[in-house]
Amino acid sequence: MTCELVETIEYPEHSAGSVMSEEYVELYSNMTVDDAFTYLQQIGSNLENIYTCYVVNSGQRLIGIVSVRTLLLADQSSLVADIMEPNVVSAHELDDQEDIMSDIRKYGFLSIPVVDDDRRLVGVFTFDDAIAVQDDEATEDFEKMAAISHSEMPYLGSGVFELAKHRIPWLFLLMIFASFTALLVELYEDSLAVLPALVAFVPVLMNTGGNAGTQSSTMIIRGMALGEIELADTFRVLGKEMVVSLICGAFLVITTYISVLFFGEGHMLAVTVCLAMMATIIMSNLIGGLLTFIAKAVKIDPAVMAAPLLTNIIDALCLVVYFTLAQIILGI
Amino acid sequence: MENELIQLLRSNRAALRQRLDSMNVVDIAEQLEQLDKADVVVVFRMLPKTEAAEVFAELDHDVQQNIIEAITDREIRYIVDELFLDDAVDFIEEMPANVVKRVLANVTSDTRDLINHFLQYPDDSAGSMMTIEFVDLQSGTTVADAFAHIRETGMDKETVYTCYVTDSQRMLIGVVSARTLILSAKEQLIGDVMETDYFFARTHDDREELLNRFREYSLMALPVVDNEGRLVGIVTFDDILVVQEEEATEDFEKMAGMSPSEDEYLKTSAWVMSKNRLPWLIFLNFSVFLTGAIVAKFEDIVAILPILVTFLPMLMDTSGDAGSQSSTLVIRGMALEEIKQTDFFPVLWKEVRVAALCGIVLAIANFIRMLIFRYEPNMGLVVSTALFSAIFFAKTIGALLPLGANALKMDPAVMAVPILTTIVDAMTLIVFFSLAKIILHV
Repeated sequence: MTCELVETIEYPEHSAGSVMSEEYVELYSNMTVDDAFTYLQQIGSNLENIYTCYVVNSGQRLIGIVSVRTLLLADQSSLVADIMEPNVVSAHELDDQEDIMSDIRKYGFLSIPVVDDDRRLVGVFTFDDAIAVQDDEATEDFEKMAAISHSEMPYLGSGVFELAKHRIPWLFLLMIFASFTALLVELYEDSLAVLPALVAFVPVLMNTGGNAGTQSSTMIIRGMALGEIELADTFRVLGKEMVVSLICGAFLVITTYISVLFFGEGHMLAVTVCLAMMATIIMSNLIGGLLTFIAKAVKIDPAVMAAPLLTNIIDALCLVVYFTLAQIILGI
Repeated sequence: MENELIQLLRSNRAALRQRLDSMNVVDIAEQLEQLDKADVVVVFRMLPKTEAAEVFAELDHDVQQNIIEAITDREIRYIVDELFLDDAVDFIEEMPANVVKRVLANVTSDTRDLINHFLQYPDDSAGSMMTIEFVDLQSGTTVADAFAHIRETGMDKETVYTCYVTDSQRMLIGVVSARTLILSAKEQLIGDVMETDYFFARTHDDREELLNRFREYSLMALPVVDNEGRLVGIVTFDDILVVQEEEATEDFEKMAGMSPSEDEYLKTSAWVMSKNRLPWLIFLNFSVFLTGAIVAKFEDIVAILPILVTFLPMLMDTSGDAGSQSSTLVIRGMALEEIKQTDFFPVLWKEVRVAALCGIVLAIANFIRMLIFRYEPNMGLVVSTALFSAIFFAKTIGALLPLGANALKMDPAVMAVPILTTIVDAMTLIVFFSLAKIILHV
């Protein structure tokens, strides 16, 4: 093995190249098992990952892998070419780290080789990288779903201004967005003046809608992140969410009806709130699902479509439905 | 995705057999799962004997059951004996009683005893995750003997890269890596090259503790000992990756107000899904009626000035968003052990300051926005002050709830957005309407 000057290439963030390690064991196919062990003994004390060895040809191209376990179990005189595994799961240097991580999780490999356009071996991605990447990816999703810009710094190490900087832009955007709901509610000001009791159920509908939407979008976003849900599943998922909405809605309508009567309000108002509740839950679950699929289809990270944005949209819709129903049913 | 197996099964069985030979077991399992019931069994029987168990371990439980119900007792015995014990236990745990009975009746009594023993470890404990196929060495043997031992038994071991040194009582006394063995002289004694300062877990340790140890020390495998210190199994990194994923998913679900689900989304029935979501929805629905009751107290004000209602969505949404930012960061920080119990006050103090900062910036922004939209300055004052208090309370309480839950040894993730929103909404509305009453004299 020759010691080459490692080119310093700037890999894009989150790419395989940016997280891979350049320390690995290279073997040649014409080595014997005995040669391989001699070589391992020479370099093994300096290298972190020796348990998977990579077999390259004279052009540095990856042609196979052989594990130390295989070497241990093989005959001393066998050729590496004869015992290596030629079907290698590898990653391209520009692949997303998330994809390699899920390959490691899927296959249980200790490491996955990273190659360039010409299939030349440029590094390896190891299981401990996978554990770190999996944490980072989940944290990023948590952050996006809570409308916070991603930060590499640990929480306790970040200053107050640093933390606020990651939160204010999103809060501001969402606040402006939510302000438009006001324009919709203004249309119903007269009804409110006639029947101010309507307002008591505004938080009820808004919160329940938000909660239901968060539930469905969280499940779907997580399912997508883990590769369990694909774009092709759109209609299956929406169908399922519809059924779930009907079941959840049926129960909530009952509790809502009782609660409204308990408030001392009339039967008709209770019916209005219940109908609005059913509509809210169906809309929340379906929109919660739909938004994530749309995001995926246009290649935006589905996680940004989570609770915060969703809640805004659902709030506007559920209030319009509620007040319109009130106008029709209660004749105001 | 195209399924190679189906195509080959219909056209060319010899080619199929060849293809199965060269495919990775995980990929075979993935494609098998897409076949229909009868085909699965046909293809499964074509697998080389040595691979059959490995593929079986990777299959979903419903496919496993389907295969077990179709194959002979002899085939069952072969597969279960070949499975790593942790995979066998996983599989048996998910099977219905009649299948379990048939499987256990067909394995050797040693295997049966082991399986029964493993099934008794609590869920999510190290004992329930570990497997027993590890390499154990004696301290008095030489490196050369160790290699001979590995050559003889290594094929059936989950890993050969970390070997465990036990004494005559099966007590764990050291670990030695394959790297050390390779680098040591052949005649050296294991007792001299082994590491005596090593990490281990106990059978009843929670899987989250294990995960944290793997995270921190980049371990490949961790030995598990019983109460007496005897080595009973190992947990390997590949199982930990799955645990890590499941723990994150559980947190996502809890934070969205759901009971954690067992299975993938598409495999969970709408009924089970509703069951996971309903209790929280109903609980929160009742609690939010308390908020409604508070608003009802201010009905008179609404009757006079219904325009106040138009600001409710903005106030409630912004406070909800602000609160979820704080609680999410704190919950995640605690899950990754970046935030510990002792950090209670530093974190709270930090969130209080961030809350004040965010609140002031947004209140000013909102005031300007309302002036531009030609609202009365007084109205702007009411809404902006209410907005500041909403953000301030949301963030402070958003951090306080999970920190408090942690101090009380409850799961912080449960204290996320939904509960928080309900509490903060009530406070926000009281502040808003009270301010309106005072400043606008309604």
